[in-house]
Amino acid sequence: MDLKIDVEEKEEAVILKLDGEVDVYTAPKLKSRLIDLVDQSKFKIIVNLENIDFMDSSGLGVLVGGLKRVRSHDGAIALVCTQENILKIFRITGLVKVFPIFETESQALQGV
Amino acid sequence: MSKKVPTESKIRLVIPAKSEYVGLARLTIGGLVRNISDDEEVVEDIKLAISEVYNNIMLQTKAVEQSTVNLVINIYNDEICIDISCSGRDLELTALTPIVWSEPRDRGYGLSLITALIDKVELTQGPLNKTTLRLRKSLIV
Repeated sequence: MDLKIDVEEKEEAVILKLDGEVDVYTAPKLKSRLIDLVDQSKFKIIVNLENIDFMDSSGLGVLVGGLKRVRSHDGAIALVCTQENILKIFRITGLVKVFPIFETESQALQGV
Repeated sequence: MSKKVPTESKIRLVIPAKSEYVGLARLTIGGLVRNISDDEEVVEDIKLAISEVYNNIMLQTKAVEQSTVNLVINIYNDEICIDISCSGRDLELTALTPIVWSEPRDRGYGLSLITALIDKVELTQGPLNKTTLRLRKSLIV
């Protein structure tokens, strides 16, 4: 089980494209990447979850931690996700009210 | 429902309590459930619940080497029951009521997910007074 993270800069935002699984083993990799971006003064971040096969609360925790970091610099994190099994965990935990979730990257770029 | 695993089966898994094994636990349970239920949502719910329990154990057993996660899976006609315990340290899920945070937190979502996805979650006393977390999930849609 691994997590691949591709980073792409578009307009004023940075897009993280995740591929694989986000769990207690792989979430530290995502956390580290988010911290690196904030350290590089990248405060508008889009996390694309379309190629994620699985995510649990470890991933949610990392995203919330990242959100707190960028918000302290007036930044934002937007998500791209249409997968029902991933959206479900955001609904159950109420995080759909915390993260703007878009169907496409272009929508997220306009909304972040 | 096409069942490739006989009902009334009992399966035991012992997996190291280390984060690198959570995927193995999830995939093993997922593969098993997929063999007894055609409902992919049931499969995904159980995989996520197992992952969350594993996360909780990881938090508790960081300092305990050689700990194992012990899973006993009972398959009935219309239900799967998974008993989870940990060697080395007792489970500390003393409260099964999820906490509602006033603002987003970067941890503490696991129990909300487990109780939302699983039909019945209970703590029981297993052999040698070890605390066992029991998850029951209907296989009927």
